[in-house]
Amino acid sequence: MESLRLDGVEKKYPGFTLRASFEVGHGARAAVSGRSGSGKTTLLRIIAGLERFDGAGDFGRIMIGGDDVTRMPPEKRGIGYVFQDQALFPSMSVLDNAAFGLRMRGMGREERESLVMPWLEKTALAGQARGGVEKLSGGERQRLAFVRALVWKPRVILLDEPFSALDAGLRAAMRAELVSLHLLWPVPLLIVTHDVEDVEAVATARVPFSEDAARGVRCFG
Amino acid sequence: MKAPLYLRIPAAVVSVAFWVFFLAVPLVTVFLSSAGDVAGTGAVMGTGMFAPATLAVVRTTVWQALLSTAFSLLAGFPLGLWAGTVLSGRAARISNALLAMPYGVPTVVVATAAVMIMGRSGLLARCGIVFEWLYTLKGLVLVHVFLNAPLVALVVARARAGVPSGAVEAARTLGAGRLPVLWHIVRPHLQWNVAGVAVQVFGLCSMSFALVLILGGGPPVETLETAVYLHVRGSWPDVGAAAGAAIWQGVVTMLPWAAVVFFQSRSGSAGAGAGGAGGLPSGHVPAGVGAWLCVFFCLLFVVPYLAYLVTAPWALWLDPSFAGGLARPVVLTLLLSILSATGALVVAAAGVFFSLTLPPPVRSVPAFLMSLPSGVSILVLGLGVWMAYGGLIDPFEGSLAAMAALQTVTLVPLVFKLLWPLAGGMRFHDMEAALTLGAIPARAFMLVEWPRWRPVVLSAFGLSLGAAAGEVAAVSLFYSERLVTLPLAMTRMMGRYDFEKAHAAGAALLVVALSLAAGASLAGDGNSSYAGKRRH
Repeated sequence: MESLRLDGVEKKYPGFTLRASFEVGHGARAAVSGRSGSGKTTLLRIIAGLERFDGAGDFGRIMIGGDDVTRMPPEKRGIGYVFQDQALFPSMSVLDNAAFGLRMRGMGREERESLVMPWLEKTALAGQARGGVEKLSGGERQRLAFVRALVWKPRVILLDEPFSALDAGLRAAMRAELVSLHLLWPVPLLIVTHDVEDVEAVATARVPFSEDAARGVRCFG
Repeated sequence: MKAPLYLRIPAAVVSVAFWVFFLAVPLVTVFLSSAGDVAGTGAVMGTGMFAPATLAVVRTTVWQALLSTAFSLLAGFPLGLWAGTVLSGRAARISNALLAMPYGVPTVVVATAAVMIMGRSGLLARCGIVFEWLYTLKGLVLVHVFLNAPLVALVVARARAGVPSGAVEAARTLGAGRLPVLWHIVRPHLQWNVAGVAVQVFGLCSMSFALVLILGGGPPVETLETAVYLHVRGSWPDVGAAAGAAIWQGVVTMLPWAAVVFFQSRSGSAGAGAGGAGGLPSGHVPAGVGAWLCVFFCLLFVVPYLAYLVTAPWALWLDPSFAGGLARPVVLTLLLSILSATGALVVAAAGVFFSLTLPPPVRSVPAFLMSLPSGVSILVLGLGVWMAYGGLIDPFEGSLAAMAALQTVTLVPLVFKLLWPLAGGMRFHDMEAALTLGAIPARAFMLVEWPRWRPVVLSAFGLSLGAAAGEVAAVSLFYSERLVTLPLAMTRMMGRYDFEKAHAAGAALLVVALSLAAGASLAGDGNSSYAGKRRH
């Protein structure tokens, strides 16, 4: 049973301070919402280890399960991250993209394929498994990004505005797809979005956002 | 909208004439010479081409170029990778300029700088560091590496900076450490650029002339380039042997050129891929200590030239006999540079306009043909000009026209490469609007298009001036006692062990060449590129 907990996380930036204290339990899907530029993506990047967190103005702990991952490099944290622009690897096939996390864990090709193909079949990507990602549509790219983040069974899933690049019809389908995929691997899921419909369709909990503009403090949780 | 006839016809004539008379005919003449006697020159090929002495020169040429390429990659690749990873903003702009600068230094200056710094009475020798092997293959490779490693670093840095940061971050969240990220994510983006710059460096080193002549000329290190020259202008002229060496040189240089064209198409950046020196990202991220340390390493490639300038005996220029003796070479160098740069601009512009008159499917053909001189040694071309037009030009009499024509041919690919992207974005509808308002076509072009072309044209002209000012190979084939340019005068001074005078002349040439390159860069407002520039 995994959980994601932020204990008094604080990071100073020029002009503002970002604070976060909250917990996302096993199987929960928590949504972080807030105005544009409030620091939602930065919060996810801090959790994933993509933002430096070793400066003089950086405090607090990031816990996954019972482990303190605050100073761990991103590759050691066990976090499945879905980027806003998907960040698929253009030099790799659909299959290799999806299996990248397994490959980095030393899994052989055959074993990787046997694990990944069912996920690709479920997301209707199996027919294009050997093809390049440049041929995928917007929805297919998004589904591949979900599969890539989930198939290696991460301890936590983070999603940064995953539906922002999709049209309205596709968004509804993708929200349902995300929920059904998450049920296959129900670890703590944190989704950043500015869309109320995303929150209502996907989230089981919300991370409140507040701001003290005078002191330049933005709080999540 | 079509260009008017009075523009289309001259453009077609100039483009075709240039290609036929200054490229195709000379090259075909050299290659046909392998079949027998040509134009009474006594050039009988076949036996000479495969003579042990000729094959030994081929081996030396390829071997020194391979070694130079390998060590340039070893030195430049890590630096480029580092720069492309950590640099942005001001630090990136500074390192970009530092890495591009060596490419603007005339090779004759590089050679004299090497002697002044590493020679037996050079700066380092005075500090107790003696390079006994400067005039050997090892010395030649060292100088080649010093000259080409910054180019490798620049290309690698630009390619590395172009790797999407999202892909790198995604790979890291998926469990990839630094080395797996390098292999799985960065390598696919870099491989064609690295392959391209590697064969480009190989081509440059195999065509290297002034450096080999000064550092290795003669028995210690003889390459095909110096062999062609010595067979034509040496004590015992032998056109047959020169043509044999020229054919080999054609093979050695055309193959890398074809590979560069292929790799550039694979890297999807024909305009800048392998030969490009576009630049590093110029955002506004403050640079850390690591970034400035990286800039320091980039600076190391420039330090010798700064030392060369600082220690130059500038006072010699106040000596009337020295300054007076070089007055004619200086004037001739300027005149030749202006003629060559103007010629290259005219031919390249004609090629661009001619291409625009062709149907889209065949438009890239002139572009391909205009880039062809990049793969041909200037001495091979010069030999071809002499063999083809022997009745008109006698190299022993000297010919300013032949020098200018040869330099023009070698500068055309660079200028064409800079102008060509502009042709793709021509605003024909805007010009048509100007025509409907009463402007004649030329006026419509000046009003609508010229503001876009002006900086690039000025930039191309400046780069061409700088490159032509330091050129030695074309000059060395067609000089006479009354036609000696400054770089050639420097080469002769070095031959007479008159190092101090060569140093003074070289420092002045370096200032002029770098000023022209910097001016071109400023005029081009960042559009300038060293892509396609060559060195002799």
